[in-house]
Amino acid sequence: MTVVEREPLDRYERARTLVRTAEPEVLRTGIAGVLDRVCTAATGEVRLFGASVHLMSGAGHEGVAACSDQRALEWGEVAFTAGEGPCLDAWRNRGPVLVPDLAAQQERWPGYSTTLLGSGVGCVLAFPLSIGEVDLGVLEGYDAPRCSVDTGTTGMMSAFARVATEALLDGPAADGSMVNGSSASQLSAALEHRIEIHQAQGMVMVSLGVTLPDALVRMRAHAFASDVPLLVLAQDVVTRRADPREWTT
Amino acid sequence: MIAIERLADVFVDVADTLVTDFDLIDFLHTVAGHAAEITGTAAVGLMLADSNGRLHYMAASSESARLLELLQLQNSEGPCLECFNSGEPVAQPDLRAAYDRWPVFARRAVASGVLAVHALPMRLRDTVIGALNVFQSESVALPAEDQRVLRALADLATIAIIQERAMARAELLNEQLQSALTSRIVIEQAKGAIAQTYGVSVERAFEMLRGHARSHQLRLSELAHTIVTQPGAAAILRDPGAPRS
Repeated sequence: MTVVEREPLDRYERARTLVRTAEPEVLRTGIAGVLDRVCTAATGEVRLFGASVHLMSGAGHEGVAACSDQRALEWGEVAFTAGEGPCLDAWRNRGPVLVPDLAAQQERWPGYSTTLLGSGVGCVLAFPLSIGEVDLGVLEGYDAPRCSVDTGTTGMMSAFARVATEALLDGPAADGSMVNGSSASQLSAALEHRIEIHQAQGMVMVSLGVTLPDALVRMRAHAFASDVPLLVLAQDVVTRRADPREWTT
Repeated sequence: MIAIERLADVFVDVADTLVTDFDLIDFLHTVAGHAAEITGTAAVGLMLADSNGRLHYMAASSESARLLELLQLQNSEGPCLECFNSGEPVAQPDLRAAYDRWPVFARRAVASGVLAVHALPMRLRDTVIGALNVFQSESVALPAEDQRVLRALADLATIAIIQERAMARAELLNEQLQSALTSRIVIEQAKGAIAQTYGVSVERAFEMLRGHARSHQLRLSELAHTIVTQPGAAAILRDPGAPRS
């Protein structure tokens, strides 16, 4: 990936313009729609495979709220399944995590890197969506193995991260008014696709007679061992195509 | 015109107050005090707009009653209001020539010894958050150099205020998101636990959860929390629609 060198303010203005005109695969309204456009615009401008926006709260990783396409959503959710990855490190360390060669990081994120490399992604760039002391999420870009990461790329991704942060703070109206309940509820609605993970967690808890946190651990372990996205495993549990009592992991 | 060495001190002093957890009002008083010093004998006041676009007095170089009154008057007319509305500087070097422009403000100002007034917008790109008001007892225009320095001071204050507001919004959003998600997620988890316990669909499980919460006057999220944290708690629900065994 190569990006034209620009001054910081020019990059920011260019990112804003591209986000306004971006056309994501699926059109959603509200903040989720703006964040989808950020992912789509970043993918086009930085010439990535795809991009996603992770939401973070004080409780940790809440899931992928926006993406450039379905593949990017699945790549993003791998960090949740594995419980590790660049987005979590970027969030914890409050700074960008640039991984041009994921294959060289298999000790750092064993489960995560195995899954992503298996799906053809070898380069991950994670930029925190932070303002002051508060971290709201992470913008993550995915590319082919051994991508080149130059200052044009990181500068442009930072600019997109800033646009995403502003979208989170201002909401789609961007009128500068205070955040109301609807921004938070719009964002929690953007995580609607993950509902089955929580439902399955409750089912596994009862089915295996374990605690709720342990139920998620068992789901993650089984998803990883059978090379299935956590979301798909959860759907199988909810529809009773899968019986947790038969899991050996 | 302020000496360059002194000017450097002013900006260092202002920047020094911009630490984490800085006090906004204290910071604005520092800015107003320095703005007054830069312009010589003048008094300086800062007005910020609320979300309804109404201007409020925030800080001034002196707390004199006449200065506060001149600032507060400007919610209906005056240089601050014009400056805030247009986003452009407003200069009136002789207020005695402005009785038509601001019938109330100009007369009150002249009566209390203010003969010239300048207002500079506190603006970042297309966002105007307020205005900085300079009152002088002589009928003079501010030198261009002083205006430039004041502009820089107003810009610095604006960036600090916008950053502080964004951080406050981010903290609020973070809390709201977490509580919205926590209550939603726990309900979904309880639906799963009930569905598994009774061998019903998650839709049916939700009806059971809601029915039990209603008939026992419990909050849905509290009941859900009990179900997912206490082993076997899902058994407390009785399916009112199912035949009793």
